[in-house]
Amino acid sequence: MMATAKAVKAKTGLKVSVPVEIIVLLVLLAISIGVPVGAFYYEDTVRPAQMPTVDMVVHRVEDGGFKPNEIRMKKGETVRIIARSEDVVHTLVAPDLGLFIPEIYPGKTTILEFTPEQTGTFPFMCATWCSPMHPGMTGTIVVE
Amino acid sequence: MREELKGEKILGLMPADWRYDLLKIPVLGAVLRSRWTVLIGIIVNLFMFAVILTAGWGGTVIGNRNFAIVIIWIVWWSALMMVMVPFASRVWCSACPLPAPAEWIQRLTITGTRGKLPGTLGKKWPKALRNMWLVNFVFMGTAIFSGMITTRPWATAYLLGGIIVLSIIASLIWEKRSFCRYLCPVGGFLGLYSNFASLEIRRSDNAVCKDHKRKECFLGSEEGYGCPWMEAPFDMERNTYCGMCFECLRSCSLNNMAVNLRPWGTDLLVDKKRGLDESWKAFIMLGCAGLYSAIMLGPWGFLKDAANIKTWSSFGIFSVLFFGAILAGFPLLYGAFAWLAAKLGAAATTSRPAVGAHAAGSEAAAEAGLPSFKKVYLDYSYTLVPMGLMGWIAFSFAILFPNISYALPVISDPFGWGWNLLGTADFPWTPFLTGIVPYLQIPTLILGLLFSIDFAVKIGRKLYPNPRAAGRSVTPVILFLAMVTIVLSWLFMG
Repeated sequence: MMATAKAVKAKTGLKVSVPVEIIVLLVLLAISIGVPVGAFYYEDTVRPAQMPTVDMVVHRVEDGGFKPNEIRMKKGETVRIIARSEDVVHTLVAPDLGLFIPEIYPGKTTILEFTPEQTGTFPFMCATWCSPMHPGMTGTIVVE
Repeated sequence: MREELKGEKILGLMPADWRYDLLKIPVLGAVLRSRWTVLIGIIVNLFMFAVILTAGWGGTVIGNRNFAIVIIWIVWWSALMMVMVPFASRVWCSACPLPAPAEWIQRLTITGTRGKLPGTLGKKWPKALRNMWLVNFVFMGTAIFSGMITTRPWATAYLLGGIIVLSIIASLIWEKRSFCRYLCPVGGFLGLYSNFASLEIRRSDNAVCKDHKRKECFLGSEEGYGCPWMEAPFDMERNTYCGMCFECLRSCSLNNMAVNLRPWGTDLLVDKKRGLDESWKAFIMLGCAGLYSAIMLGPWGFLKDAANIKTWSSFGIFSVLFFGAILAGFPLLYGAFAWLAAKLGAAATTSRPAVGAHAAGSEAAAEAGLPSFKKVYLDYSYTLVPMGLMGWIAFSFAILFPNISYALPVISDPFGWGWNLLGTADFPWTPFLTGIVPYLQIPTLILGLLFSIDFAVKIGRKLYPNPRAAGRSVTPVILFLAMVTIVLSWLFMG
């Protein structure tokens, strides 16, 4: 049985509408828990399920370079590459495979959908001078 | 209405005792009296802060692409200083979601009212700390890391998360909004600068409050809590600790509370509850406005690097200079001018023994009818409030206009994960009207100077009823205010 405001008040000195209180509490919980959980669930589960995804974070070589620096793909299967730079502008190119991601700006997520047409192991690198150790800014794509 | 406001005109234009009660507008009265108004504000902001905390802890580390940095330090900060404080006092405090969970835990209800707060030990805040000193140190402890907090999303998230946790802990131990009043790093300067605001909550009719024994605005009633900020609304004269929660509008069964529009800065003329804690808050805020302008807007890369903790040694030197300049250097410099003000005021007093009495000390000065040096120092320090607020508004122009375009991408892609919720994720950085920023900043500073001089003259007249003494005494203060304005103008104009 739903408690009435009068009954609750008599018991606790509290003047409140219990159904309203419950609805507001649920709204508050939905916001404070729903926002972070929903965001991470969508990003980590829903989006990758739509298409194979490579999540790449890019730093200067001094701070780790491409992460991951080895990418695995399947011939003929479209992959979504999500690249984020956390320092300066980088690029990602694999000339032998025909893959070219221009300017990966810091803080801006660069997304490219790519379908490899040949199998093999292909080097990829950064083509923008990004630090004194820029020539070491490399990785490998393995297409099976 | 306090007697000292009668007959005074702010800037020679606005009668200081003019008031217009917004509750006379029926719709507005109903809206402000409703508990739902504040709650809806909190719910909206709770959503914003849920996104901010998620972005801070889980979003991109690049500040200008992160919702937390852009919304807090560009949008919110500018809105706070340019709109909320000058026009609506501490209205932010009423909709701030950070201490809201703590308050709900205390009350064990969100929408209801009750006489007692069962969810707390309800201890009184220690008497020795019932002032702004602790807030000043908490603020300085936060401000020294501002280079990091305003650029690293995780640092912003930890700061906000820390405030939530601390407010909950504080609410379980101490009564009501002790955290907001005595610990919140934002609350201190909001309180001081709200004395300048053009909005206030006050009793409508003194006689009604005098005859009303139940003091519901302080103790609470069936319709509302006693003031959560531990103020006595029936006797409130200044905005400093009024959180604009409108609770007294609900609890007063005689409808004797008013939400008044008023001329700017009239609280600064109220010679009641002034204290050195508030003076130091004024020094801190004005000093920070100057230093932040030098760090964030100036051409000195080494300052940016030091504030940004490029190396710990440079940050150490920066910290010593930061604390030293703001907590000691600036108050001492002001003190020299205040000393001159006291000296000139005494010298202009006709009786020679009075001058000697002032030199002999505060007791002798009091006997001779002169204000003590402490009183002169303290009272004139409130003239720094309009200048400080205007300094921050001028500073905010330089933050807002070049950077506001970052807000468009982050509302579409709040975490920097490649989302495009509203189709604005690729909106490029577009500095906005940067050419006119100095033309807004300098008039703003001059307006602050005019207000400060106006209040200095009025405070001088209160300190020294003799017009000649008042005129002499206020001269060094005006000189100091002009000097500060010139320094700030130089920092803004380069």
